[in-house]
Amino acid sequence: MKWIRIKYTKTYNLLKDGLATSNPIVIAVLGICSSLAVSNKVENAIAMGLGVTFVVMASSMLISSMRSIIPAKVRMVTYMVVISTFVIMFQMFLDAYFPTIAKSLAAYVGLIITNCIVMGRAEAFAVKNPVKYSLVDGFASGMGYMFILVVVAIIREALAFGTILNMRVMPLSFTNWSVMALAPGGFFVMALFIWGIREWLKYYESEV
Amino acid sequence: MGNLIELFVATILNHNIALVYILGMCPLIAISTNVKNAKGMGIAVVLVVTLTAMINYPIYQLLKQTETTSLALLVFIITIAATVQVLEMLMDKYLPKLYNAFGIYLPLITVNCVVLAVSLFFVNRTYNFAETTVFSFGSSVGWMLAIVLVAGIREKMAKHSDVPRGLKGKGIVFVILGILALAFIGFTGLASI
Amino acid sequence: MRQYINMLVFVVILGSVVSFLLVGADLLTKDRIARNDEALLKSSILDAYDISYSFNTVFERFDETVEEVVIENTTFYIDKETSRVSYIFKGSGVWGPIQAIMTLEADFKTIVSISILAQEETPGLGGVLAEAWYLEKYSGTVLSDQSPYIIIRHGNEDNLPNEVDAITGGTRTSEAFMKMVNETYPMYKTLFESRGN
Repeated sequence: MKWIRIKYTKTYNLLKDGLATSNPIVIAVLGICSSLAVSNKVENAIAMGLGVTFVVMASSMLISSMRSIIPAKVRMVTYMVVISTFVIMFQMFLDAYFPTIAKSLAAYVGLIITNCIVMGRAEAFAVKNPVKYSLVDGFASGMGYMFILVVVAIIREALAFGTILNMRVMPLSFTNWSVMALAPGGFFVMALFIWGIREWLKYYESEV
Repeated sequence: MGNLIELFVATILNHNIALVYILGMCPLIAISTNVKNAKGMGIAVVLVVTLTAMINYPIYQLLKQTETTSLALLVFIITIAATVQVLEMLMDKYLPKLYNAFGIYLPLITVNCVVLAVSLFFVNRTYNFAETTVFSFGSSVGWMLAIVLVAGIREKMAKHSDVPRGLKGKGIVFVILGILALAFIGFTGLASI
Repeated sequence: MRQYINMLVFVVILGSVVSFLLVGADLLTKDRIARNDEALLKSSILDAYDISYSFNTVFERFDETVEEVVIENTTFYIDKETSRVSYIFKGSGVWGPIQAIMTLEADFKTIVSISILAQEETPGLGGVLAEAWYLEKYSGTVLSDQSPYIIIRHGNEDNLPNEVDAITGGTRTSEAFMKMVNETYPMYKTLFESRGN
């Protein structure tokens, strides 16, 4: 099988876009509010990343299947209504059938509903493209988001708590950098990431 | 009365919704390129947040009476969108100069997390109407303070600093926000909400 | 004009479909959720009293070993064996409501344990409030006789009997929780003592 052919398929390009060239956090700078709060520990980052990926995929699919009947002027409202209904129904389902998971995810629900990534992908992609590609795009954006979040969380957790996934990695004599557990630490680590990845992808903005 | 003044000071300083709760970042990062835009966006946010909180309060009381609080989030979203739409139409018709100045920001505010968060907060903390008004006004003024600060710093940096090309644009805003957030931690315990 | 009518019709239809879905889902899951909440409450109380139970026998064991006393619409749970008392108290945290169970010894002053039923604080920071290792610090704390009943430790000396540690990085959550405990305790104390026990 000619692997080179994959490079030209739409799916591959969508995946590449979501993960690298249009990474929602580093390039498009969306979904920042939530990423700072949850990237302080790796397990929270993984949970949030999976949650966002799931919601983005499902809402992109819903919006994409409705795209022919949404009037132009009420686009934004429709997205918000569809997304929040879906998230609330999902939370009710979890509360009823998987109460322990629901308890630990209670804090994330609010963060996911107002996450700009979900709205951003719906507006930029789902409303103009068929369901199949919207699913892939949603998956790619969600995974791009999760990837950055997990890497930032690894650094922040190691410096702030001395552990990764609750396993001790720093020597016991290490004093915790508590600032990394709080918001400013998140900002600084993300800034370094944005710098690194933008240099690697050679994506520069022209003015400050 | 003193309680309200303390609440107002708290929402601007040690419970600043942008620099302590880290909400409303997306529009803050996108629109803080110069102080003029930042002021426009800030004023629009103050207007919309205060108005929608004042409208959502009686609506929530109604929901409580009919025991349908599960619809609260949805109803808030719809009232926010409707308020913004009506505000836009009214401004376009009766205050065209003002509309040209900052009317373009109004649709963006519908998706600003600050508006929804303020409504959810007053529900969570069971404020009465006076407290809700002061809280929403104070929070939005605090957000405006944050965006104008960041815009001012960015303007100066564009003129005098040599920002590395990888950090230009949105990257340097993160560093600025980090330092500001660190500074605002110093206000902890100043006033209680 | 046609456009506006289109918009309005769409919004109305969307609104009704969505409300219907939400209210429907709420009705369908309400019972299960209520039962789950009750199971959680009862198992937390049984844990606080060190009574063993298994997943299927929660409700029976609870009925056997715990007495429910209702004073003026407030429910107190009393362990039939050791007379320990529990009550549920609620308050607002930083991001959302916090609901917790306070279990006290028969003297209504010494804390046996606190367990958290529901909270929405920042995971890893304020969220530590719900973790076992933090809540253990409350066991053995003695609430003082006048306000403030419980205080957050300042300084490096050993804790006074009614002092607890704050959460590193979760200052606001710690303060909100402290406020919650201090505001609800006198209320429940008066109610319980009015029982004439």
